[in-house]
Amino acid sequence: MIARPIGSPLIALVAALVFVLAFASPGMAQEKLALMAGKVLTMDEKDTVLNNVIVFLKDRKIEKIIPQRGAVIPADYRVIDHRDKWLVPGLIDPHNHTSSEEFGSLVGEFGSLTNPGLRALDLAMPRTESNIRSLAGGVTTVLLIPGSATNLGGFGVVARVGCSEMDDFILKEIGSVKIAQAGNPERFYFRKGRSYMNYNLRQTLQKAKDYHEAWNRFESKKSKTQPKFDAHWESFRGLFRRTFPASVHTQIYQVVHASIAMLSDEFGIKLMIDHGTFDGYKLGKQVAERGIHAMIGPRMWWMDPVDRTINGTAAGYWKNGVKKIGLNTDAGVLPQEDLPMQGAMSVRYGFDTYAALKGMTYWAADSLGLANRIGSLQPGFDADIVVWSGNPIDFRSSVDKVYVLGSEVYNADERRIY
Amino acid sequence: MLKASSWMMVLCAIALLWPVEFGSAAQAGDDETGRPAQDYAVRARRIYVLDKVDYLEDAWMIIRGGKIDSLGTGAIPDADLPVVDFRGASLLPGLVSTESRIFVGADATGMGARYVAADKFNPYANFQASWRHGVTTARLTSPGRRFVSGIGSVVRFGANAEDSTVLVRQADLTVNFNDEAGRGESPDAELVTPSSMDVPYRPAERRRPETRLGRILALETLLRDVRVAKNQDEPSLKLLALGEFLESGRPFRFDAERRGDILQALEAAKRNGLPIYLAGATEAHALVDEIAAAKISVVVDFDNALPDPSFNGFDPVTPIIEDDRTAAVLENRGVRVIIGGHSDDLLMSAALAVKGGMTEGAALRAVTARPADLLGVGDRVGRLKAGMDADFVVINGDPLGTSSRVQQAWVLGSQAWSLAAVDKMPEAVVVRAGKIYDGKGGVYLDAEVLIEDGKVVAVGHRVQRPAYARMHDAGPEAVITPGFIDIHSTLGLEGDSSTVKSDQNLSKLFSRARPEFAAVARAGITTAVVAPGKGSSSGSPIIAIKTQGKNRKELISKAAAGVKLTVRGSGASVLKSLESTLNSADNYHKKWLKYEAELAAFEAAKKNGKLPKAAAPKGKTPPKVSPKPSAEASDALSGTWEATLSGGPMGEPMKLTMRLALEGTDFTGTVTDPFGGSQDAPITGTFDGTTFEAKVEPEDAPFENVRVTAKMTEPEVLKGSVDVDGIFEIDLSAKRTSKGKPKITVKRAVTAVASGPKGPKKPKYSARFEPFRKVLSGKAGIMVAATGAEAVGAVVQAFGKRKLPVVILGGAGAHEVLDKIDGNSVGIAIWRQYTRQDKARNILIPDELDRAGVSPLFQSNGSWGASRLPRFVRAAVREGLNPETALRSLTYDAARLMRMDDSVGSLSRGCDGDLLIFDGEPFDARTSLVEVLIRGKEVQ
Repeated sequence: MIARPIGSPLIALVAALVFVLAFASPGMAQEKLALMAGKVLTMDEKDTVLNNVIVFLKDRKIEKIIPQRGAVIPADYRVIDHRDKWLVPGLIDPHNHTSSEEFGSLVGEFGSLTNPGLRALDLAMPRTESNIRSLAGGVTTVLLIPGSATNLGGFGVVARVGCSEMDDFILKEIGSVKIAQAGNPERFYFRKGRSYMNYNLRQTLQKAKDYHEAWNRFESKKSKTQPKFDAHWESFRGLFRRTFPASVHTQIYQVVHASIAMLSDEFGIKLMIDHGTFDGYKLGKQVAERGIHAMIGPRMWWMDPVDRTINGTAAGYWKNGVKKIGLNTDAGVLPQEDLPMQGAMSVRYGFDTYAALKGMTYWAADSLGLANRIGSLQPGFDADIVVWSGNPIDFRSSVDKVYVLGSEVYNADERRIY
Repeated sequence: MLKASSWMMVLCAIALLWPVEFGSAAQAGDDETGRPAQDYAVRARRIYVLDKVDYLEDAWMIIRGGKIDSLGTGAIPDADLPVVDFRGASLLPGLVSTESRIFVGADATGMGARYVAADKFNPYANFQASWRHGVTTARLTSPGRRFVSGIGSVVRFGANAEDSTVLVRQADLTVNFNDEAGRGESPDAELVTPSSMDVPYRPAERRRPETRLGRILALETLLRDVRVAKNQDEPSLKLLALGEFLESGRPFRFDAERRGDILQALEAAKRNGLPIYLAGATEAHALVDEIAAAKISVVVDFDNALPDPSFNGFDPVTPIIEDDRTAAVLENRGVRVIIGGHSDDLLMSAALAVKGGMTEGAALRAVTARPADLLGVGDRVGRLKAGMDADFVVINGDPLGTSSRVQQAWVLGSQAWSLAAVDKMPEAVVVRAGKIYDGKGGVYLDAEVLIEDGKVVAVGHRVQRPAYARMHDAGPEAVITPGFIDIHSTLGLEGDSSTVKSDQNLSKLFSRARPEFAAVARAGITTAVVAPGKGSSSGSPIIAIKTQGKNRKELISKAAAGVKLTVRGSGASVLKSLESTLNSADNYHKKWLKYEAELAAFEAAKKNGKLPKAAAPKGKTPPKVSPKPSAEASDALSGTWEATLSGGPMGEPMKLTMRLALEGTDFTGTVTDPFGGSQDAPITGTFDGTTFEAKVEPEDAPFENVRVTAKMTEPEVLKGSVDVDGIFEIDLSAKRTSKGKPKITVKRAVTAVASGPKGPKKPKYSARFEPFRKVLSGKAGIMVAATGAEAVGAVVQAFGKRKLPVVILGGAGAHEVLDKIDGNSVGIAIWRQYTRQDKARNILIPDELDRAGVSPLFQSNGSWGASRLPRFVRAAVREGLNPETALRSLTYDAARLMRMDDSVGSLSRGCDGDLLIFDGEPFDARTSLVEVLIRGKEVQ
């Protein structure tokens, strides 16, 4: 939320009352569910896997998970028996351009080389075709970000694609700031090279940081002057507080290095390597040391021109000690419903099976600062659950049912999309 | 057989050694630049000096060191100077363009006074676009449509970078008073995007003031700024440049198209005391008084470019009024008019000005001397007079003629450009005369004929004049006719009176015109139909040759021109012999017609896929075995023959082996490769007991047509020759070494071709009747030597029945059967005698024939004596022959009856450019034949 000072507490109170009267929360009346399943991949920090359990859903959240044996299910819970199927947290695609009908302006709004102030939030749109297909692939959350034609495209939004109401759909208004280094902006934007872009980006970030610090001084009463609100910089405050990351489209060794040096080391920004391919994995040690997340894809391999070997990029980061690895589709480069296939491909090129699953769930949520709500199945967490016929990254497995915020939003028994 | 590749190498070597003929463009050029190494003179029909007089007729100009030394008419005073003769062409001073469009484009923002056009001049550029319109000096425009758009410079487009110089750096300063709104260009400059979005966008800068108020304000503000800048320590580059320009005293160029803008421009100049000239003043005709009072020069633009008919103009409500009379109206009020245009084609603009009422002299000065004066280079270019730079252009005709073209541009005495050299244009000439007879009866007065690459392209009162075409004006008294045809000649066969059989190729005898041909050519005979002196009843070949030509290709007009028959005896025997020959020929012809029709049907069916599909070919076809070995056979031919090839191009004799098998009168067999190759070639042919005729089909050889003709002079011996593609002949003698039909196997495996259904079978080739086939299919002519009414009657009967045109040679006694002769298809080529006595009356035979509707033709039956043939015809005209009949007989009728009218005999499109230029009527005794052109080339 934009931390804009509220004018009067009275007005806020009246507004809240009106809201409550007009829209009695639908969550209040939500049906309570008891999901029985043969296996639950919780994807929590302890990597807990439970067999033959019941997952209780209440008020859009996971209430508890208990063994089936000897369990007592209260009468007001509807029991749904998934038999030996797997319950897995909804997958998260942290690099996505499609959950909007304004795809064109999202990827191609070329205001300037850096565009502080532009927000994907203003373009996000539930119930689109791609959102619905996304569920059928088990993907319940995406980070919808501006395209990479400019160096700083604006702010991404985290969207819960299964939801049909805008309030539910927007999971996090400012999900990341999208930065695209080298490559695409070099090709698309005014023929500026990397050094100019780094100079210009640094200038922009410095202005944002100055704004943040000026407010900090004011808020901590070190300064009496209230800075002027500036829409260009306001959203950056969360970046400097590390409540959301910079999702940085960076993939080549040198470029990744420059990104780490500037964004992580110099500005102290929480960094998410995004669209991570090519030979960036060779910087795995530096990435791991700084606790940076690396989101890999859409290309899962890189051919080393020197020793002429084909190398898995996720596997490369993994072998270099990076644990916080996720996977992305760059939809519509690949459709986001193919995210599980990305997992399979990463494993095909040497990545670890469980790590791939954890990357698409826990680490992606962690990267977005949402690991306390989504990405794992724990009591109190949002009930975004996908029912799989087996291991999600096994090509033979299918998505049979999807629950989002405790409600069934996709059922392949009624209509299988694919 | 020789492999194809080695033959190709031989051909390539010949091609490389062939002397290369250079075009006339380089005639005066002694070095790479085309600049004559020394001083030289030029001659031309007209030199437009554009000084005190417009032009000099039949004039010369001496050029020394790139400058004009002197000019005059008549003889060149310094006879030792090399002369470049442009003949019928006109020379004009190199044109001066006040607005060259080359090097357009520049920064599009702001006031452009600091721009100096000279800075974008690239002396290494290609100036063809200007040269082709005759422009050798040009003012480069300052960029864009801004209000003050920079300083114009004057440059020269030289033959090389050294000669391409800036003549005047600061010629003028352009101020554009036009309202440019709505002309497809935004008045706003490009939006500048900041690199970070927090830097605000600025509204686009305006390129120019868009109102008259704004323009005046902008101009006067600028002038004020320049004055103030004098006192500033560091004035801007723009103001510095403007100040410098104002001090130079050079004029402002005020661009103003509409009357309102023109008026504003005049006012602005007056109020600020600025020297100006007006440009692009389309509506100046509405303000003649004001412009005359201002005493300024005006550049008037004309629509000389390719117009776009779909373009409806900028403003349909208040359109700009164009008027071709503008230039003339201004001129008449004493305004100095300079002519411009929407393209560099200033001569087109000048012609439009003439249409509007300007004199030609004024119009030509308005694209040369006057713009030169205006731009400050009038003392160097723009006129052709002593002391000026030798910048001139060569035009093939009237400079303002719409069909005329600039052919060459010469700058500082060097040929900078020549269209013919640049574009490798065909060799072309436009010949003009007072009268042209086209040979078919058409007469054109004050007419021209265009010949390109030796062929007539057009004839008429005025024809197109491609830029590469040389102009040849023969004068108003001159008369042009097609070249004459000697319908029966022995030119080139001197000393050889033997009978030539119809299967022999006369073209081997002709490789280039012999010296004695020239006399015949100079007499006006451009085509000679050559036949052997002694004819034969079975037919002799005829060839048509030109009387000029450096090689076989140039010399031969038609290699297989037809057949000559000689008939003797009574009418009945002549008829019988003719019928026999013609019937056989007809049968042969019909067989081929049938075959061709069947083949066409077969090909059509094949194309439409209507033939049954045959089995796909499997790799190589099995060796061909033919005929099957026969146990016992003993004929005169079958067996193995050892043959020797000698003579012709062969260095030393070669051996080969023929294995032949006779079946009736046809034989098949194989021939070994005399070059030692392992592949045998198939041989097929006929043998009638004595005459051996065969065709060999070697694979992978560069020959197509190898024919063997031989006679069995004694048993077991064949003697004859091998003809290779009609190019050379080799003697053959062969001896049989073993008898009996051999087992013949073509050893080489023939590469399989799709063995679809076989087409119709080809009829057997007959060398004797092949020429007749050409005659019967209308592709060649036939002539019959016949004397006496009976013989002539028989000929007329035999050919009339078949509706075949025929030329009767001699034809004495024809008058007795005139009523039986169809004049459309029979011509009688009289020889020596053109009169006959009928009782006391002297009858002119050609006249008698003419009156009977039969074409009287004229033959020399001689060789270089043919040069007297035209005089012979002149004598006939003197005796009373209609001169037009005489002309037609020597040209179109001769060609028509010999089926050669598609290439000679008239000045029709596509015919050879053979023409005669007389200084009067062709058969008038007072007239001389002045010039002869054969295939567009003058006979020397």
